[in-house]
Amino acid sequence: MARRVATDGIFIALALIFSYVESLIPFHFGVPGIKLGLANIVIVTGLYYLSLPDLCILSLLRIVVSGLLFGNMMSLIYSLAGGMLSLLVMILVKHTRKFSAVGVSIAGGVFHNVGQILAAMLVTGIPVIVYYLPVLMGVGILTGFLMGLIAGRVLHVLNVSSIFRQNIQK
Amino acid sequence: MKKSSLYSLCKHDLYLAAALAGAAVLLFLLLLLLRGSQPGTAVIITVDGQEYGTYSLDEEQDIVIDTRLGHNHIHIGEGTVYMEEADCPDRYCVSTGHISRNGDTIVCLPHRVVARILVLEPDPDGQKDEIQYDAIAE
Repeated sequence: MARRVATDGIFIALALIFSYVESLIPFHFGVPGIKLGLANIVIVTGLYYLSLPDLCILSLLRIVVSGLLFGNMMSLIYSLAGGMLSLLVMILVKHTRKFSAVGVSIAGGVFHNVGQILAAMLVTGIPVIVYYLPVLMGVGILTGFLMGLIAGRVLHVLNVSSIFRQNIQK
Repeated sequence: MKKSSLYSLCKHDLYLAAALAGAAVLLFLLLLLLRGSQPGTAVIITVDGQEYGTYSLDEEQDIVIDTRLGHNHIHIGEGTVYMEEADCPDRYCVSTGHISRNGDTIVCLPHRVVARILVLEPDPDGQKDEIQYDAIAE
């Protein structure tokens, strides 16, 4: 139990730091909602490292806390929709056992943006923002790929290091 | 699957990326088809989903919208529409630039302001379409 609390604590702290770093990077590419998704490194790592309930709590807490600390009400709603859809899709994609952490992360990146746009369409009642979706999906593939490579590398190192190995799910 | 390949890029990842990219391109083409290419004649402005007003593109005018969400200033004239200024945080609406073709839109998401170009059929008397239909019916 103590080990579980400590491990989950490390993950949530890391995820929040990454969210904070993310909020410091000004990203303006003509389409709203584009971001690197640094915190997704932690979520993808957690996908292979934590139990499913702990992972869901991690993702939910990260979004709510970082939304309150670094965002506003609207960005919190969008991240919540994106984050939850992304998490669900990543769990399913990982479950197929056909893809590596990189593939899981790519699917997560794309569906984060899909969830975000769907939420924005519902909340604002402005259906034309669906025009942002193709661009955001493309961006999601790219950022998901990059974050997946990093998460894969982290998992590899965790797997090599004997202190952490016992926690990694086979 | 081998343990080592669980964490690093594999063939299936690339198929997945390609499939998702294909879906994005298809969606893009679909949206492109839905978008008209003929020049518009009017612009409809909606705020929070409610119609704010419809304005002819021929008439030079400035529409200033002040709601509790913020300030937007839309300029209409010479067949085009653009967001002159806005006090939203991202200012994507201002950077959208000029719109003039049927279906083109400027969206200010934080303020929920949308300007969308339309084609209203002109008629010689400058009256509304419904009235013209009634005259034909008689």
